[in-house]
Amino acid sequence: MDVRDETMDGVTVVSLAGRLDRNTAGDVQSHLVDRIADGGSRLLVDGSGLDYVSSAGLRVFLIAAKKLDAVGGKLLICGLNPDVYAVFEATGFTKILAILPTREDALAAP
Amino acid sequence: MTQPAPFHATLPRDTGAIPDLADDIAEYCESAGVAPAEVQAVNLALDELLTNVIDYGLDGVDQPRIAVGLRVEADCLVADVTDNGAAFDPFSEVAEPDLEASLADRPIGGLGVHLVITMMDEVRYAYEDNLNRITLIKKRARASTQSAG
Repeated sequence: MDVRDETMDGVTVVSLAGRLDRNTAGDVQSHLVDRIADGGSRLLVDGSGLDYVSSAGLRVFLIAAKKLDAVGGKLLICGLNPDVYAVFEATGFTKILAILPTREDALAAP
Repeated sequence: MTQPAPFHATLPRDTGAIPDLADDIAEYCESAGVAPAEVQAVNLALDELLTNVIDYGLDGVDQPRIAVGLRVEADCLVADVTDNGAAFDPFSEVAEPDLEASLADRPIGGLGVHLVITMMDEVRYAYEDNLNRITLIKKRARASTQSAG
């Protein structure tokens, strides 16, 4: 599991690559919670490198989205491959999370 | 075309062993000509079930035993997971999540079993010979190639 931070247009972008499952979710969750604690109302997760997400991975996105929502911020997600997107869709997460095709779409989102 | 011999593996009580199992299953299915999307669906379902068994299902069991079987048929994949934990039917004992709830109202967790049911065409549970046995059936989009003659 690779986790990488950068800043684009003043927004923190965390890129995730590899397998997000029960074994890796804890570290990714801590990382995202730390970035949220750094401040900034928006956090963009670029998931284009993710080749697998299980329910343990979904819960990381849900926790991050709730934390940001609670402070009037927003979690943005982009770049999910079709297999991974299908997992978000099957759990109704595509209705409650802001999932955009590309980084540019995500940064331009309202 | 003759179907390959069924896949069988035993697992330690360690979720860290699941990715290697998924790789072995992918390799086995690939050699049997199964479509990648179907392999991924079965691996996701197995991951969810095995993670639950390892994290919650074997408390107090002296010698935990977890096994996974898989066979490829012409029109479907049939997988099963057995463990010697206390009898527990996830398909009747885990509440269905409310997929329409708002972000603030969605509880954390409780999605694994839902994913299994959604990704598979048929799921069954039985408790027999002191083992939990879950059977998963995933239909194949295309039947395997028939050999000519």
